[in-house]
Amino acid sequence: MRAEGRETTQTPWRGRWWLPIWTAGLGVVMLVAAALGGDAVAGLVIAASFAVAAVAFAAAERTESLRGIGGVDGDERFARIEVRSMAAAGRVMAVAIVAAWAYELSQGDDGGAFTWILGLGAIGYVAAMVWLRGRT
Amino acid sequence: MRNEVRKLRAEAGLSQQELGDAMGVSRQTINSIEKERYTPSLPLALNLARYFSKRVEEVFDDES
Repeated sequence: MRAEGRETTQTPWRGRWWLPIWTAGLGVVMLVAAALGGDAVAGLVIAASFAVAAVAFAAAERTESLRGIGGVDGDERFARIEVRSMAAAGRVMAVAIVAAWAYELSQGDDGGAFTWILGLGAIGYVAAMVWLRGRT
Repeated sequence: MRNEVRKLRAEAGLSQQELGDAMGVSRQTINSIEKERYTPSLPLALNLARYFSKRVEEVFDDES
């Protein structure tokens, strides 16, 4: 038996604080957006919710799964799990956006925002396919 | 995919954590490989086989 194996995967690909900081950062973005829209109170509620989630992620550092997903113990299996989870979330988002777009149209609205989001998603998907096809 | 990782690890007297550390992956990943829920990448499969001084087809078998 060999004394030591060669490292086969990128570990970790994110730091210990990546997930809590990302979560809290999203809350700050929402707070600023809500404040710009004139509803700072709603922004504070949203930011507080994200802050609670960030603290929970930080406190759950002892959980192996969360450490893996957050990147602390990330390896090829967690990377694959993340890719599949992102793909699943993307499908859910796509269905939700199409449904919301259809609802907007049925209400006599132009559904403009959803049109843009769907278009952006489609362009992003095609661009990723072209990019990855040449590199995979 | 069937594999002999659990048997080889036990014969070597290693814990899942120790083998995971040697391979650069988590204990959970070693556990998933042993339970045949996760098929490792080619580099990891090769590395596992080399670690136990086996050929990769002696450790992993996709025909069973």
